Amino acid sequence: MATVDFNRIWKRYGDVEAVRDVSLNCPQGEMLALLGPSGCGKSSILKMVAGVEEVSEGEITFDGKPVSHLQPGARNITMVFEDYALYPHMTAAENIAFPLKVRGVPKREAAKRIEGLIEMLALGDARDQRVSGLSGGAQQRISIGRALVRDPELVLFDEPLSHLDGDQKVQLRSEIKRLQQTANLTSILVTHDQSEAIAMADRVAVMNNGVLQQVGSPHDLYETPGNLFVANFIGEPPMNLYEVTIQQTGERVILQHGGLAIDFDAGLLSGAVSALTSNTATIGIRPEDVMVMTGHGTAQATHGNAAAWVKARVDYIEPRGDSDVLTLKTDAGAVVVAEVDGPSEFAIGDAAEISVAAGKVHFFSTETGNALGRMGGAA
Amino acid sequence: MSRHDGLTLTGISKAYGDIQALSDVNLDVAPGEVVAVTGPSGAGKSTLCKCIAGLERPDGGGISLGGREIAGDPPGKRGIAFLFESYALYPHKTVFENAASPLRVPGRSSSLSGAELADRIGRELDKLAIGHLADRLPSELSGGQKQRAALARALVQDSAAITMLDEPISHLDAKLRHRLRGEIKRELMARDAPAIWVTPDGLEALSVGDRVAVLIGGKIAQFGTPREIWENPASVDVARLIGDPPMNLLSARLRENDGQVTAELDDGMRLLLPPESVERLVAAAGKESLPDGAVTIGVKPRDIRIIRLEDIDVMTSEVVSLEPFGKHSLVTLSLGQSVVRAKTRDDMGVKAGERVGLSFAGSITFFEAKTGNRIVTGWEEQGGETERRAVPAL
Repeated sequence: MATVDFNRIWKRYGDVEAVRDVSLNCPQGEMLALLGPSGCGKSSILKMVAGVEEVSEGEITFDGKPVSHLQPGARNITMVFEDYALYPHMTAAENIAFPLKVRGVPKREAAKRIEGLIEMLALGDARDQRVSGLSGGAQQRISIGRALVRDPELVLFDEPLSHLDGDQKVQLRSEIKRLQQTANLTSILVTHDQSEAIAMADRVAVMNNGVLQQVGSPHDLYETPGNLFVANFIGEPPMNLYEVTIQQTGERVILQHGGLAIDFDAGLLSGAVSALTSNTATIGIRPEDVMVMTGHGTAQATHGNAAAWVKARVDYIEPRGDSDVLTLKTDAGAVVVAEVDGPSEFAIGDAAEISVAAGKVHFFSTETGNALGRMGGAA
Repeated sequence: MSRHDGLTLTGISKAYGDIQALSDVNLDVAPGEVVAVTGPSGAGKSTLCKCIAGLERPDGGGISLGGREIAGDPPGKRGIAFLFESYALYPHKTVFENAASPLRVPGRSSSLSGAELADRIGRELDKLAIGHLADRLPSELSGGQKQRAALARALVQDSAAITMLDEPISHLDAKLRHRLRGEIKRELMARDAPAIWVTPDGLEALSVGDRVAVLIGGKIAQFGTPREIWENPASVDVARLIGDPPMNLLSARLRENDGQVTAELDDGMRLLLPPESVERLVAAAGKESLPDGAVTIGVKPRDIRIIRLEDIDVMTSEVVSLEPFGKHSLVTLSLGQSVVRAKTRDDMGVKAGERVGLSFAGSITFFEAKTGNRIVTGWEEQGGETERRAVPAL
C-alpha cells in the first residue's frame, strides 16, 4: 500500500473550476475521507486519482512517484462502488476471484487469497451462493473482497453505504473500519454523509465549491471547526450560529444578537479568543452545549463561567430516542436549538431558561468566516 | 370535515394471491395528528396507503374518514393528498405545474386566484429548496429534486381530508432530510386534518410521529407514542427497527443459583445484570418459571458503560472499533462471541484491539426467546405503571 499525495491539484471543466488548488496527504495505512455537499469537488478528486479523468494542474503521487500520466489500469487502484457492481449470476467466491482469474493468477495462490478474504469478511455462509439473493450488506462485503483480492496500492470507496438501510449501514461501517485497520489499507472515502466519514476515516477533508475547507481528525473538526462552513456542516443538528455585537461594560460582556443578549463575566472574553479585532463576530453554540432548565425563575444562580439564564419557550420538539431536540424561542424572538437527554419531560409551549458555558462558545470572523477561538480560556 | 373525526381503520386485510399483505390492521389518526407508519420493506406500508387512497380494494375491513365510511368511494372522491413513493410526476409539466395540478382540477372551483395560487406554490417550493427549479421538467431533475416536487404537490393541498406521505424524504441527503422533516411536520400539525407519514427509518418515525405504528409482516406490531415505542418496544422485531443504533439484543439463558438469578450467553459468557432489572423480571414473570428460561436481553447502547478492567464486577471485552461523533462515541465491543455497541459520552480514549471492562446500567429489556415478545423492561418505574404479564414458557 502506498502513501498518496495531492500537490496543488486543479480540475477545470471549461470555465468551471471543480477543484481548486487542493493539497492533501493520505499516509500509508490511513483512511482519508473527502466530505462535502454535492458539487463540492470530492467526486472529481476521486476520478482524478482513479485516472478516469485528467488532472488539469498539479500532481498526484504514490510514494512520491507521479501517477497523473498513468492509465487507470497501471495505477493498481481498486474501487468499491455504492451499487456494489457485482456479477449477479456468480457466487460470492466467484465474484471475489474474478480479478485474479482475468490476470491468470495460479489457481492455488488464488484460492488461498480468496479463502483468506472470505474469512476476514465473514462471508463463509455466502461463499457458494449467487450474489443476487444476498442482502445489500453482504453484497457490499463481497465487493470489498473483490477490491482487496489483488493487493492494491490504494482502495477508493465511493459512497459505499448509500444503498444500505439503517442497521446494515451501522454494521458495515464499523466492519470497514476494522478491516481498514487490521489490513492496514490505504484508502480514500468519498461521501456526503458526515456520519460515514466520522465513523470510518482517520482524517476527514471537508470540501465546498472545489476548495478544501479543513482537514483533520473527526475530533478536531468537531471541537475546533476552522471556519463557518465546517462549523455548520459537521454536527447534527447543526451548530446555532449568531452574528453578534460585543459590548463590554465594566464587569460584564454582552454578546448581542437582535433582542438576544448573552451575558458573561467580562474576564471570560479574553481567554482563547485571540484574534478578535472588531466588536462584531459570529458565534457558534452546539445544540448539546445549550443548558436548558424547565420553568421560569427556577434556574439556580448562574455558575461563574456560564451566561446569565435567558427566558425562552419550547416551540417544537423532535424526539430521537436517546435525545430530544428542542427548538426554543427566546422572549426576544431568537431561535435556539438544544439537544437534551431523551425522552425528556418537555412539551411544546413549556417555559424554559437557557444558558451556555463560556468554553462552549465558538467565535468566528463574520467577514472571513474563519475561526477566532473559544471564549473562557478553553484553549 | 368534522373536527372530531379523523381517520379510522378497522380490521383491514389485503391478500395478493397467497401473500397476506395486510392482516387485521386497526389504526386511528385524529385531526391534526401525524401518525408515522414504519416497518421493514415488504411490511405492507405502501399497500396500506393504497387501500386508504382507494387504489387498492381491501379484502375486508372498514375505512372511515371525517365520520364517513369511504371504502366504497372512488379515489378521486376521497379528497386525499397522496405523495407516492414513485413520485408519479407528469413528465410534460414543469415543477410548478406539477405542484399546482391538484389545485386546478377541472370542474372543481378553486378558491385561489392566479396570483394566490402562484404565491402558495412558490412558498412551498421555496420551503423545500426547489424554488429555483420551478420551470424545469421532471426529466431535468435529480432523484431528490423529483421527490421534493412530488412532495410540494402533496403539501399544497391545504384542505385535503387527509395527507399521506409515502417515504417523503428518503432520497434527500442527510442534512436536508434532518431540516425538512421538522418543517413538514410543523406544516402538517397546523392543519385540522389527519396525516400519515410512511418511512422505513425508525428514527424518522420517532421524530415526526405524534404516534408511531410499527407494521411488520402486514400486522401492527405496536402502536404508541414515540416514547412508548422507544422505552418499551413490544417485541424483538420492533426493537430492531428503533434507535441509532438499535438496542443490542443478546440470546441468553437465565439460571438460578442460591436465590441469585444470572444470565448466560449461548457461548457460556456470564452477563452481569443490574439487580433491579432482574428483580423486575422476577416480579413480572414469577420466580418458579425462571430456571433455564431462554430469553433475549435488550440493552440500549447508551446503557453500556466502558470501564477499566481492574474494576470489580465487570464483563471482559475487546474494542472492535471506535466511531468518534464528537458529542458521543459509538464503540463496538466483543462480548463472548457476540458484538455489542455502546454509545457513550466518555470513550476513555480506548482503541481498537484494547481489552476493556463493560457493565450494563439502567434499563434492561427482557423478551421471550420463543415469541420475541417483551416480558418486562426497566422503564416502568418512570412510566408510572408497572406491567405484569404471565410468561408461560420462560
